[in-house]
Amino acid sequence: MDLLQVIVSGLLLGGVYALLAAGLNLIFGVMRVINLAHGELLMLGAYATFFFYDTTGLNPLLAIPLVAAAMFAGGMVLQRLTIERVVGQPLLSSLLLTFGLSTLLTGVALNLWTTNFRSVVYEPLTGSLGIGGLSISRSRLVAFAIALVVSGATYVFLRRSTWGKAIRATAQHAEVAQVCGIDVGRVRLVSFGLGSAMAATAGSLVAIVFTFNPEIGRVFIGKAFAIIVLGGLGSFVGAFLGALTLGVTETLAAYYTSTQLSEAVAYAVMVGVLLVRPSGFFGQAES
Amino acid sequence: MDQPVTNEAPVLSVDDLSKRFGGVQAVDKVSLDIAPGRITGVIGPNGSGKSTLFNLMTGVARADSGAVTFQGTDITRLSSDRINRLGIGRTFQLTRLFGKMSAIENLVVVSRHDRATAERNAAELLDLVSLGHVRDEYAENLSYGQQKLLEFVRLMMTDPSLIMLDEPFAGVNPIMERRLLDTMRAWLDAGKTIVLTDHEMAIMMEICDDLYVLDYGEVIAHGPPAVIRDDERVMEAYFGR
Amino acid sequence: MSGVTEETPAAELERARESGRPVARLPRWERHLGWLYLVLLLGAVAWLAWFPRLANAYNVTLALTVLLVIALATSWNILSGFSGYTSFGHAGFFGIGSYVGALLIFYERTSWIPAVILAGFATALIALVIGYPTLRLRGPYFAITMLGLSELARIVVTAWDSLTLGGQGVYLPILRLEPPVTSGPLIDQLRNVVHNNQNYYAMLLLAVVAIVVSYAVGTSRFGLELLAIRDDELAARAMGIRTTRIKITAFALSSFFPGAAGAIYARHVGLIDPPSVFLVIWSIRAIATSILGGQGTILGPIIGAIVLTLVTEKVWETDPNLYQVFLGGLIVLVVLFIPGGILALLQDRGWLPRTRRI
Repeated sequence: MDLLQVIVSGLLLGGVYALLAAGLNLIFGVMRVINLAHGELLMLGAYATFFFYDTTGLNPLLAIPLVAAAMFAGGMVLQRLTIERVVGQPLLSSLLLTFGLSTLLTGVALNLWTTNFRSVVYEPLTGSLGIGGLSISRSRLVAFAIALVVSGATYVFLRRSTWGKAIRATAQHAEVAQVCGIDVGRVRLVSFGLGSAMAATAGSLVAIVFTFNPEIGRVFIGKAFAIIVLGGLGSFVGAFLGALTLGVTETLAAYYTSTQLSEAVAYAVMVGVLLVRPSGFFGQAES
Repeated sequence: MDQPVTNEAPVLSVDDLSKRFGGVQAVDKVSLDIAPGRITGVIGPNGSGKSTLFNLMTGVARADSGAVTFQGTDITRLSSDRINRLGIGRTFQLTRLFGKMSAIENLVVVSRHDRATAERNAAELLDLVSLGHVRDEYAENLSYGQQKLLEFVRLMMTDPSLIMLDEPFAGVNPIMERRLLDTMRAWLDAGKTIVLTDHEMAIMMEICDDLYVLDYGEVIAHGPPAVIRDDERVMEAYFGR
Repeated sequence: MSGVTEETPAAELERARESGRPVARLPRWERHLGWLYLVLLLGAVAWLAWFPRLANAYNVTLALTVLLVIALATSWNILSGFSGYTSFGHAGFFGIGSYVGALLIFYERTSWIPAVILAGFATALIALVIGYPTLRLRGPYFAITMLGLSELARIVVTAWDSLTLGGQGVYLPILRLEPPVTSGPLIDQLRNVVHNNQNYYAMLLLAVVAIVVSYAVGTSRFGLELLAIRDDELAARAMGIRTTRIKITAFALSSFFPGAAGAIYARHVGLIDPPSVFLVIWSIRAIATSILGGQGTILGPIIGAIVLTLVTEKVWETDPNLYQVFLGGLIVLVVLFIPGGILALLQDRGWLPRTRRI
């Protein structure tokens, strides 16, 4: 029974990871930029949620649409000011750039909010539910449900809407998309905004489930890379399965060894898979 | 239709080489022999698998099946640096120079002699193709024609016995084309073997001793230019669709 | 086939003449730059060797930090700057070196000089082992893998507390200072200064070795081979350059210095724990410094280290968080506006020749 408990708990964790990885995936797909600052976008989302709850005292879940909208806008600004300038340049330029952004954002957050850990403790979301003999954390369940809904909605948006089709066309072949009359500049802008909003939403959920400080960005970017390594690029479903796998593996590691070693799981997975399958990261994205 | 141009043993032979990319059979059971001291051409429409075949032969890509033998050595699974060191040099369809290195550094870096000899050889080669005045300029700042020439002489720095040129005439003006042809003739005189690809029928007919015609990754015809000219399948591949 | 244009010979000549600047040969004095550097280096070393006699303890530590950053940035540049295989793992090597050195002294009572040297070689050996699989990855994936490995090293060192004492850290015996000798025979005075500033002199030596190695790499064919890998690895291989061997050699060479520097640093601060020596900021410092000065050049990382450290050290001491903002912002600005760093900017303007001796 214990094992089942651990696995369910890990699966719930995986939902939040999936949301984070999906945003990273989207950004890479559309503009061939590996966003090392993705974890910091999550961190900002977590703080925004915290301050919303801290000032209003309202249900922190209400903050999610606000935070997502704000980060959508913020992401677009960031894209226009910085990322857009390195699109089409070697991956290393964007990698260094987003590494700089990650360092910068972490530094700013440290200045504003120190390394102290915070969390959002909203009474109705605490405690556990007993379902069929399993005790399931209420906050994890809610976070999983929201992550699932947001991921699902994004998936449908990318599949069905005109914008979604434009985004997918650009990801497939930017030049062809451009020739077909798609404004790829705007697609990149919107995609980055969307990816940022997804990261921020994941951040809101992290704020509810975990404790956090300005340095969690680095922890979560490691997890996101591990998921993409496991699930493959561009595959929404693959990334989702990868996220669930990572969530379960981490929870098992934490249960059977120590919390500390469970931190290592993501990195070990990432390094391990890459070494076995060197082309397996962002697939055959560039030849 | 297979008529050997010489009776000498081939320097390089390809046996049943195949490569798939996803659903596309880029190279399909290709076999060919390269006669020493001659120019062998591989022609075919764009996308017929010429570049992939070159990449498989030089270790830049891995074949799914089949074998490549160079002077009796199986080189199918060797890495491209080892293949080069055995004596096969190549150029790329779009020039691939070391952009942020000067013209002379582009040559020195591939030489296998000591630094002083390498620099002397490099300077001589640059003068030979009238690039002496740009020796210290970054390769990426050279004109397209100059880059082509530089890639040609970089090839000579490693003194390969078999030279493979992937579409050397693409985008080259007539004067440059003559200069490239002169260089190739000098190579033949020095006893080297040349393989080249192009999709321009006319020029290939003129300069090659032996031709292989590729279509959809398959060899559809082989023989001296005179024979190829009259081959129906070749005409069909080029004009029939 | 895009980008391929027909050019008439006249246009071609025109372009050759007008491609930016006149295509001048390298100036005559370029040949003698090596000697100039030697004189400058000897002068700097002589002055820095005398420095502890002139300066207070604070300034000696500041100089030690400059030398530390020179060693880190210059060595990072040997692999990442020249070959383009950006490593986010320098902090990992620094941390490993710190621990190897500190634990040798702590458990084995190894005297500190061999401990530092062993720390350097142990780190280089680790690089050799992990380099073989990781350097097969294309550049960006290598970069991310190194980020992961660096974190992994920190977690392993933290968790393996039976060996590393885990999170509580390792204390090293504090250097017993002798009372300053300011009179008597000069040799005694010198011995006294050297004794009281051992870590400083060790770092000075390490930085000088790093600079000499960097110069040797930068001006040799090995350096050109690394640059060829950076510009077009596939073509480099096809031209017979043994890319794998070269990358791994550069990686091992590059990781020796953070390893040895980490061990000296451990002794200097007297207490190390995983968060302090595996801090990502060590990687950030090496990277920011190198790209500011100019990666893939010899002088770039040195200039960057001196400028950046002297300007920002006060910030680092008083407010490490602000320091991080500063370095992060700097990286962003450099990538966006002067991607080649200060030296490439000067070279593009034609103020400096494009020579590998720069």
